[in-house]
Amino acid sequence: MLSRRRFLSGLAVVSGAALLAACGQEAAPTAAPAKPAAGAEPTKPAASGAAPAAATSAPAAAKPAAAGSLIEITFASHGEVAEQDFYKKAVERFNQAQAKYHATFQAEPTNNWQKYLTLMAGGTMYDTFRNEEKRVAEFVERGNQLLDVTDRAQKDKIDKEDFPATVWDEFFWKGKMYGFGHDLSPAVIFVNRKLWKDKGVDLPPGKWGDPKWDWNAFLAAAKKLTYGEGAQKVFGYIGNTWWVYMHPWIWSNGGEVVDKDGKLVFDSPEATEAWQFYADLSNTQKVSPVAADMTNGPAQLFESQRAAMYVNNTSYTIRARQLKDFDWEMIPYPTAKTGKVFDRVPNNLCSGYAKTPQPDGAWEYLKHMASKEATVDARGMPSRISVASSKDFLTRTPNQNWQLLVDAGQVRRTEPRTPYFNQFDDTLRAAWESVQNGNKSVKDMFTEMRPKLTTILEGKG
Amino acid sequence: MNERTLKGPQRWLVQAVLTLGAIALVTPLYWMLATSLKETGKEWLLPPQWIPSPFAFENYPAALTSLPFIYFFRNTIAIVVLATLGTLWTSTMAGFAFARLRFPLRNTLFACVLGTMMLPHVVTLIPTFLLFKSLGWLNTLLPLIVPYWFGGTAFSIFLSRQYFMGVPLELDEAARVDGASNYRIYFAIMLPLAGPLLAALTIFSVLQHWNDFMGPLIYVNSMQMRTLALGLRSFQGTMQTNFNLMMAAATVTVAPVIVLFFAAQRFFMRGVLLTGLAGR
Repeated sequence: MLSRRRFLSGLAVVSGAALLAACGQEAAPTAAPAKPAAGAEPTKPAASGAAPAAATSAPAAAKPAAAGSLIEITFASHGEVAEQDFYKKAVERFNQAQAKYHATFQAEPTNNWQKYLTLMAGGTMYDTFRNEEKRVAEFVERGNQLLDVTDRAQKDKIDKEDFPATVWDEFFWKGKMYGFGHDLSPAVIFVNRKLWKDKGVDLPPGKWGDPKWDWNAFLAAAKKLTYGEGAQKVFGYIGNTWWVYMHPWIWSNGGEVVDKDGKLVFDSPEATEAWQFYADLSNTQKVSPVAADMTNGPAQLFESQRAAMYVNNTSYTIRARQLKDFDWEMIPYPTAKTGKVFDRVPNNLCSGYAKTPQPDGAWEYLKHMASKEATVDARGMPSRISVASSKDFLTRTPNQNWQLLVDAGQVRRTEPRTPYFNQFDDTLRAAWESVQNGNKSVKDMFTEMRPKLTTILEGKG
Repeated sequence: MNERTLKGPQRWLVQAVLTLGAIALVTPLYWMLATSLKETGKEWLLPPQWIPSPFAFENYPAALTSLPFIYFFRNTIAIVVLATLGTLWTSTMAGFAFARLRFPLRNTLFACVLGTMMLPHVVTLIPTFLLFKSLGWLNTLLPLIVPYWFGGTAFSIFLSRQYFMGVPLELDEAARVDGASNYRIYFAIMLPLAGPLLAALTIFSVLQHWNDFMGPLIYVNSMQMRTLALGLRSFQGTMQTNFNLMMAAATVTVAPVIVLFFAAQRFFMRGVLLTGLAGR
C-alpha cells in the first residue's frame, strides 16, 4: 500500500522538477548566443551585445546577429506551414538588412483572430501582424487597435504609384493609414486540364471579361464536365461555400451585398439573380456538390480528380505546385450579361499595433513588408505592380497563366468595409451554406437575414 | 450471463457484433495511419486508397521537421503531468471535504463549484488573460498548470465527491476513535481506496490537457513554448489543409495517449463503474 510519506515525497520531487522545467520562458534552444525576449512582451530592447535568436520558428535556425543593441520587433502571420514560409523569408530579409531592429516571426494557427482580440484586450498584441483589408475598420472603430502611420508614410514619401489605386486606398480608413501592403489574393477558377481534355472541352480564354466566356458558356462547360454517379461522380464545378466568394458573381451582374453607404442591398434583382444562379449549380443543375459534401474541404474533391473547376484564391497555388502528376491551370470568372466581370482580390496588408512600444520599429517593418525586396517572396500576388509584372513572378511555374492574376488588378474589388464585418460574416455564412445544401431557398435566406443583417450594419447587433 | 457462458449461435452473434464495433472504432485510426503515408493530393481519392501506393514515408520527417515538435512534446508532457498531478491532489481533497466534512454552507459552496461548469469559456477568457498578464505569466506554461492546483476542475471535484460519498462512514469513525486527523483520514484511508477514482481522473485530465487547443493558443506565443495541439493545427490553412502531414504528426502525437489508455484500461473501466454506482 502506498504510504502517505512516500506519496508526498514522490509527488513533491516530480512536481518540483517538472515545475522548474516548465515555469519559465524557453531556454535558448541551441548553443547559439543569448536571444532577446520573445513572446509575451512583444517588444523589448535586446541586451547590449546580445545576439538575437532566429527569426523563424525552427530552433536550429538560430544565428548570431551583428554586434550592438538591436530593438526587438515581433511580426505575426497566420496560416499553414507552407504559407508561413513565405513570411518567414521576408522576416529573414529584414534582419539581414537591419542594423537597428530585429524582427521575430510568430507563426499563428489559422484561428488567429480571436487570439489577436484577446491580446489586444490585454495590451500585449504583437508589434506588427498580417492583417486583411476587411478587418481594418473593425480594429480601428472598436478600440482603436491599429497604429496610425499616416505621418510616417508622408514623411518617408512612399511611392504609392507602384500600388494599384484601389489597393493603396485600402491602406486607409477615414483618411488615416493603418496598414501597408504585402500581397494580394485574387480569386480564380483552378481547372484540372486532364478532365477538360478527356471530355473534349476547350479551356476558356485566359483573359478577364472575354464575352465568349459568359455565364451560359460556364454552365455549358460545367454540364459537359459533370459525369458519373454516386461516390464516383465528377463535378464540373466546385465553388467555395463562403458567401464572400459570391461577390464576383454579384458584382459582375451589377449587384452589391452592401452598398457604398453601408446599406444592405443583397436582395436587389441583380444580386438575387446571381445568388439564384449559383445556388442552382448544386441544387438544380447538379454540376456542383452541395455544401454538406465538402466538409473535408472542396480542395480534396478537386485534387482527387473529382472536379474540373475549383474556386480558390492564389494561396492555393502553393499547394497546387506540390501536387504530383496534376496538370492545373487558372482561368477567370465568367463574364455576366452586363458584359462585365469583377474579381474578389483581398488585400493582405500588414498593420502595426496601436500600443506598440516601438512605433518607429513597427513602421520600419511595415515598410519592409511593402518593399520590392520583401514582396518578391509574396505568398500570393505581390502588391507592388513592378514586382507582380516581373518575369520572376510571371514564370513562377512554366505552364500556368500567372498574367491572369496580374490582370485581376484591373477588375478587382473587395468586400464592403464595415466595423461589424465579423458579426455580419458569421450570420450570413451559415444561411448561405444552408441554401447551398438545398435546405433553404434564396428567398427564404433574404427574408430571414434582412432584419438580422440590417441590425448588425446599424451597429445594434 | 457473460460472453463466456454463451453457446453456439448466440456466442457467434455476440462476437460478430463486437467485431463490427471494434472495426468501427479502429477504422478512423487506420485511416489516420494510411493517410499519413499518402502523397499530397492523394488523401481523398475514391475509392479510398486503403493501402497507400506509393508509401510516402517522407511525410513523417517532413511533418516533424517543419515545426519544432520536440518542444511541443516537452511542453505538452510538462502540462499534462503537472496539471494532472494538481487535479488529482486538490480535487480529491476538495471532493473529500465536500463528501465527509461538516462545515457551514457546504452545499451552497458545492453548488457554486458546479455552477462554474455552466459558464462558457469565452466569458472568462479575457478576465483570466488579464489576471495572468498581471502575474507576468504570459508566454509561460503556468496559466495552463497552476489553476489545476486549486481544485482541478469542477467536474473532477464532483466526481471525487460522489466517489467518497460511497465509502462507508464507519472507516472514518474508526479512524477518528484512534485519533486520526482529517488529513490522516484523507491520506491513510481515503486515498488508498481511491485507486479507480484516481485512474478515472487521470484519464480525463490527460485527455483534456493533451488535446487542449484554446488555452495554449491564447497564453503562449513563442514557438518553443507551444504544444502538440497547436502544432497539429499548423498544417491547416485558411483555405486548405495538408492532411497527409497533419496525419503523420497526429499519428506520432496520439501514440502516447493510446498507450496510456491501454495501460490503464482496467482502472479506467473500474473507475467509471464505481463512480457511476456511487452516486448516493
